[in-house]
Amino acid sequence: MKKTLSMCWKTLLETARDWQLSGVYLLFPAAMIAMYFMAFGQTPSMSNWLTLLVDNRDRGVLGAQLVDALTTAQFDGQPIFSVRTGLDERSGRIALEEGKAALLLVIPADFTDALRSPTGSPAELEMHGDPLSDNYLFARSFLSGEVQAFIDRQTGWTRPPTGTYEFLPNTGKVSDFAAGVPGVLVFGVMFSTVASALMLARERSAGTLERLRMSGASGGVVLGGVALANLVMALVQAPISFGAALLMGFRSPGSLPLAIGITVLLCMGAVGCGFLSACFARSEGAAVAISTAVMTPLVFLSGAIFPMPRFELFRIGGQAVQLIDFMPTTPAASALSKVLLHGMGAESMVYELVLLVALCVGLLALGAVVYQRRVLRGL
Amino acid sequence: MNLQRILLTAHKSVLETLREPGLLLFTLLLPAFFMLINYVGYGTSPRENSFPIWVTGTGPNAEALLARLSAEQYANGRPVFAIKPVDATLDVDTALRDGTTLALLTLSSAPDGSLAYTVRGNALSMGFTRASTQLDAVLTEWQNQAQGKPAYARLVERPLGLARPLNDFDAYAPGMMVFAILLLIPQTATLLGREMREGTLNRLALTRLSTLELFGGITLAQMFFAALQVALMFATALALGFHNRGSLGLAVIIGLALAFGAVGMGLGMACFIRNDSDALNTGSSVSMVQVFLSGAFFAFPAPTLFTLAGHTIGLFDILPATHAMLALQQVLVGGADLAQVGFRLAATLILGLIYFAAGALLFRSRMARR
Amino acid sequence: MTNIILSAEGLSKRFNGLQAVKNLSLNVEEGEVFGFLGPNGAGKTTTIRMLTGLLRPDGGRVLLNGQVMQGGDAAARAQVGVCPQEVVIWKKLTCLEQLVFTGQLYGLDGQTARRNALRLLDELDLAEKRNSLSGTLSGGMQRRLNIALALVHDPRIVVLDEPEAGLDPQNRVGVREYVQSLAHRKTDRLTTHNMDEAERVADRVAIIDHGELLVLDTPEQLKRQVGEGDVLEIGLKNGRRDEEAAQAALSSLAANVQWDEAGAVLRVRALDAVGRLAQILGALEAAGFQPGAVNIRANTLEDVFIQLTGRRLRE
Repeated sequence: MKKTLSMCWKTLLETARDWQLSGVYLLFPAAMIAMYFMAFGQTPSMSNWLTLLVDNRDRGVLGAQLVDALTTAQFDGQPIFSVRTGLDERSGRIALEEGKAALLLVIPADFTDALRSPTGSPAELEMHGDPLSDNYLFARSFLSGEVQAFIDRQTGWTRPPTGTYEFLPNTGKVSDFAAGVPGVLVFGVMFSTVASALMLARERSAGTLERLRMSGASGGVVLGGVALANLVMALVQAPISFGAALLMGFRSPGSLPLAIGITVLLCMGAVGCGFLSACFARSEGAAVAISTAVMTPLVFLSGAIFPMPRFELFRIGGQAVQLIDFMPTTPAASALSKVLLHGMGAESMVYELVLLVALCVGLLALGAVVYQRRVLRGL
Repeated sequence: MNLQRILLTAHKSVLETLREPGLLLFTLLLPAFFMLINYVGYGTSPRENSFPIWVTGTGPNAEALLARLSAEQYANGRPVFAIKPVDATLDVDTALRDGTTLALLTLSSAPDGSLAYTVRGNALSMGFTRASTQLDAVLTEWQNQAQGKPAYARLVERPLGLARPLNDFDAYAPGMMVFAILLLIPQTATLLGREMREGTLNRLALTRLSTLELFGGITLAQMFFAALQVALMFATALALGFHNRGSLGLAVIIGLALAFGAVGMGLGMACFIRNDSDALNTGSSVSMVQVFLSGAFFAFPAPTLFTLAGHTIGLFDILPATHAMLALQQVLVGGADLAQVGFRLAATLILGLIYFAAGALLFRSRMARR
Repeated sequence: MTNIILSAEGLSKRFNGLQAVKNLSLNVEEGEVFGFLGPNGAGKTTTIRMLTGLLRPDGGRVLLNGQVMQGGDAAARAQVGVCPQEVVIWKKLTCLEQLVFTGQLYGLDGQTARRNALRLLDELDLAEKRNSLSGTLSGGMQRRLNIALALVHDPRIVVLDEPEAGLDPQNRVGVREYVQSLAHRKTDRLTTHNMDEAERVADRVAIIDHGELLVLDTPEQLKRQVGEGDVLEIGLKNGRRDEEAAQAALSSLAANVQWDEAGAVLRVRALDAVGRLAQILGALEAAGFQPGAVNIRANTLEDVFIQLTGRRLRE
């Protein structure tokens, strides 16, 4: 134990003195959150990304009034659209093709006439865009409601709709920024895979591993010490990450200590993956290449960034078990989402927590065994 | 600038890389591996998927409504909804949370005798948002008809007519390609980092080799390997069933333009590092951040700065990757031609050159200060 | 009249508030072997980096052939060949590849670079290893390649920074002989060789410490500054340390008498010490000292060095 603690202390000292390594390690998840905030969190409205192009060809006055109504349309007290008019056809098409605008609404010449003389054929408002783009879908959804409400006001239709929408607890008012926080955190924390692989590879390329081996330190001692040092850093990293999120206005309906615990656990899983990567790397370059190859599927197939298609293997006591659950990122992403967004407690994520702990311990142990066999004995 | 010295440096760099065959092979295959990951995860999810909707309760004309919903189709004939009647006592919230179903439609009778409905879903799920948007269009129309609301105006869809991704694999492939190519940033910075650590950079500084020639040589060597990487990556994507809608040659050129930008950035990165270890660590984090900023994973909103030649320029358009991402997506998924992506391709190249030149200037002044 | 080929005028350099080199001026003359000595951290490497154009001085200037050397003056730098203290080689290139590459970067055509490279590999006993990756060579071979890299472009001035460091005796002798052989060619050398070497081959020697030039002269003149003659190191059995008594006993025989720091050895500097050995020992015994083992050696540059820079260990 004493040897392990010495190894831990040495690793901590070295990492602390290398500001690029410690900086990236400790601040990367916080930086990712800040970046995400920059894009999605500056305003709680959707107007910064739902750009609506409008081509008003209406001969009457209602077209212009509709444009005003859309410009001032609000959802949760915030503007929905960023309305742009007067764009030439080419620029409009380019903006749509490049995804810089969600939708182009063409208000027809007979719009006012159609609303004022209901006996004629209905005016056709054209929605140009890519029906498979999420922004188009969002814009279309809001637009149809707003256009309908405008027409109702103009035509005096007062009968209330008979449909309502309701959401899972705590999810209805979550901002786009907040919704992305768990996924971004998973990505940021998993980057520790690269840093921890690099730490071990340095020991090998600097030749100091030989020194450690001569001292009789086993794989358990070396990796135990490095893992412990990583645990210490994870314990610093997690509060920094959450501190950054809180500073940027993120508020969790669930327990923050629980979320921190999950993040620390995930970080240890990442460290285990880093160890395994380092076992197969002779140089630092190889360590980074291998750890990137390990980290990428763990992040992308976990559902943290893109939702994954469901593929159930079986169910245990009502709990669906999927193949991807056996990557530490999947239970971590799910548990983080449950606590940070749905406000659920530890009792509702027993499956995720048990899996996460088992996977992290398993990965660390596997890393130590493989390291002992491949690296320490193979010197 | 002396071409011979550039070629000499490139040759030396290629030789050094070739002498680590294991690492070289791994690096060359990494982008192809990313395609494989994408395929494993998303190769079987159709873009126009049938949204699983659970239905409970009943009301006047409920069956007609459900029939109407079931009949809703995409242009390719695929049903929009997979309607499944369920028992009201089921744990719907868990199913909504884990994505087993995307929305619960509860039908009942309104006080005026018409059909009332409630749509319940997980507002955090993109699947619910997509499904509810489609659901809302049908339900509103149904309701208007049921209430006898006169149709003064109606919204009609006018799709752009571009080819669209057939599945999520198609949709995410350009982003994964950008991600893979951006890894050239740490890989390039590492080359200079190693020269710093070994002291050989000082040896080079003693010769007639200028910073621009050094950068030129490394860029040439890196572009040689990048061409192999990109070719392997595209070949893998196609082999895995990627539906390419545009010119493959054009896509490869965009990939190489981005590679050039990434190499330029990698060289610029070298001004802020002391050795190859720093290059790998800091360079990797810089490339990861750019993957997000460029919109490779999902559209990343940025304040619009101005419009140039009809193209909206946002804050993150200072990155070559943002332009390359748009161009790749448009060519590979949308079938765009050179005229349509010419602007973005040019922007990628110009920005690459700017980063290259800025890196060279910074590096030269840093070397002079040392 | 001698022709000054390399000249430093008032060079100064600071690093993070530490004055590494202070107002240092010196001239290297054409055809001379110039020894540049100093303890670790004295500012030798910093000075050399400034002299070779690798480092821009904060103050002062460097003149090569009377022309001010600019930071980016590649043509001027090509007249200088530098063999750094550390082994600086491309480990993934073969010996021949990196020599040809370096030669060409200095402006040689491919054929000349290859011819020079092969000659150097032969001269430095590396011919058999010319197609081996340099990373696979032994430490001694890497050192020799390090020297070859400094010479491949036929520079007018060669700077050798401790080329023998870390070598085994066989390699050291080989390298020393080769470096000495360079003296017969039209090459001026600036070397931070060890004392022995500097004394043996240098025409003039500069000693710097704390970034300042302390002395600059021929080895003979420098030794004279410390005191002429030989040095007798006499071990004393009774360990008595009385410098005044020893000085008085030997006043007519020796120029200089001092104890070493441990106080066990009396160091006596005298002209014709061998001829006067019996007299010196007799005088000491008469003064109550008990001389034991006697070691006699010539006055060396090391004595000059130690006298000027002290005996305290440096970082």
